[in-house]
Amino acid sequence: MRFLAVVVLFILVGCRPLENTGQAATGTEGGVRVSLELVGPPAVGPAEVRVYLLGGDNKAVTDATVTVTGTMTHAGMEPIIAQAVPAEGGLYRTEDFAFDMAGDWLLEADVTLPDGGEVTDEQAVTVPGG
Amino acid sequence: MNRLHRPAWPRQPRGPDLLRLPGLRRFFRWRYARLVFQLPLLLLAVFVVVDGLTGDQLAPRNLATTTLWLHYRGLVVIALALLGNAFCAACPLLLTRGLSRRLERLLPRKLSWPKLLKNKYLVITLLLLFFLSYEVFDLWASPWLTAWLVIGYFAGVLVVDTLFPAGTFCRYVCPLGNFNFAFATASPTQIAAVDPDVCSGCRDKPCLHGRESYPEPSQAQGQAAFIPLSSIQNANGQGFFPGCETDLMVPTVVSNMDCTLCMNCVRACPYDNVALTVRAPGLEWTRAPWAKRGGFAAMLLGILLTFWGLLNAVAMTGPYYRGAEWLATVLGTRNEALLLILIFAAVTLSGLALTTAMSLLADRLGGVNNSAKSTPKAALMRWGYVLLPLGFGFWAAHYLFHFLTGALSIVPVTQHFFEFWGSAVDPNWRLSRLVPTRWLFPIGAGFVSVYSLLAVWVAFRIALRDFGKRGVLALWPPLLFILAFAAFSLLVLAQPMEMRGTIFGPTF
Repeated sequence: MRFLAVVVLFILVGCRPLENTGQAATGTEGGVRVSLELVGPPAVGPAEVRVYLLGGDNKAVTDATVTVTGTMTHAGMEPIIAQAVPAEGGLYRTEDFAFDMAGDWLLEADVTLPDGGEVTDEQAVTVPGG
Repeated sequence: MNRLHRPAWPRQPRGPDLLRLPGLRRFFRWRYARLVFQLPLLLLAVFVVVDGLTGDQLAPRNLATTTLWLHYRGLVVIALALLGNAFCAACPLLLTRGLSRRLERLLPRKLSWPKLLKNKYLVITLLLLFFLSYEVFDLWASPWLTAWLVIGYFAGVLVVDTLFPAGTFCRYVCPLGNFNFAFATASPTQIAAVDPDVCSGCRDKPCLHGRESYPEPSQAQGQAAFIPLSSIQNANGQGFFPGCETDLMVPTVVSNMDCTLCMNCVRACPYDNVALTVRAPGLEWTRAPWAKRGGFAAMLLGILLTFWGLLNAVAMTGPYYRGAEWLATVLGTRNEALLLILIFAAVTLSGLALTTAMSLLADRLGGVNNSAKSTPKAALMRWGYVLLPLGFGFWAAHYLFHFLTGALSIVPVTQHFFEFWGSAVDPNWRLSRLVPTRWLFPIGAGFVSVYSLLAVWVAFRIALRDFGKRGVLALWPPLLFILAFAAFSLLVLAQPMEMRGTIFGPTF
């Protein structure tokens, strides 16, 4: 009986829907919209990632902290983590981000807003081999 | 002791006995020695299932995918290369035994495993399905599926162990265990008799059938032969001591195939006459150990694992993706499962064809001209052992690449597990590599080179053993095969790796 209970528990826990970890829509938090963009076609080597932040009133958010993380799908791969620096009009861009391997990547922008709120956006990218 | 006619035991290695190291024999004679290794892995399995089902579903941030597809596989090949089949020895799946014994009582009797399946063909089929599923469902990228794989594995052991005699799952079903069995043939240790003459005088063969030992015969429960406590050398407690569940009798062991290193034999032997002997790695490949036990199915398992190992690694390189795109265009399909089945079929058949051609040619050059003796099966049973070092060397190089690339990631992933459950931990995602990236290719190439040289030694010994002076001629086809395989292996390792979940696009 106890075994049956354990099995049922596993099924109940296990059959919940998978989290959507990719292809996310533009993230929002308290009216702030964030969108992430890879500049140019993905390729092994340096890449520029742009993050746009717009407030609910369509005004640029300029004092946020933006971290861009690139993670591969395979366990054990060290993520690429870079700070995006503010440019003009709510635009933040990375300066030292580089794909070090071809394959499937998940790009994430983690944004901490001036008021401490957090927004994220993510995008799946396939970096083709040479 | 009831002295019997001395059987002609096969030749076993006579290297140093590791159990003579201080405290080891006493420890492994202890009834609960195996549990000491199984419990940590059981705990890990619980973490794997919980995080796999409920945690962050990004593979590099989940314990399920990280520990199974990175650490388990890396540590398996390290253990096989340096010691032996340590992971079967510590297998937590067998801790379902208590439950299966209770369920057994609901059955009128144990079933016997069908004779048709008393070989490695089912294992080969399951391995093929596993490798295909690995690619089709991107198991390595899915914590959720990985957790279910673990749960399914536990359920499978429970069902098979409940319905059939103990050891059936390990020997005839378990894909992971049989991978370990096949490549434990590369290991530098082996179970052997300390003194075969002692085994000659042993009537009840407790290493095989188990024993019951109590002070009085009336206490025996009839599970195995009764041997009074007073007759046990270095007594290790009373009760039932099971024998080998995969039917290996210590003085007849000539191969690590089917040996789980459970040490049941060490505990059951009333004469404390079992050794874990150091031997030359792969020594058994030169002695045709599967001619009497295992047979052609075991050989087929070893050969196919070698080629599937190549495919498993090639499938992470650019040329593979370009080839798959070309195939998809030619066939006019984007069905990935169909393409993978075709690719696996092509690699399997061409691998077998190449190995058979090499073996037949070597036989012919060695002087086997009689068509009755020169069958593909006979040739493969002679020369197939040459592929095992090649296969192990390449699997080891591949798995070590991943392990060395990300071994330290276990720290932030564990931190993330607790962070996910509400602990105030800030994972340090910078922890990942165990060695600098520039070392990875030399290490992989080193493994491939060392095991290729071992393959040359195996081929040389087989040629001399079976063909004498003509062995010089017979040696050429295996040598060319080894050279080609090693060159291709190095070429694959030198490719920039692409970690793509599917041929056609991202897996997210």
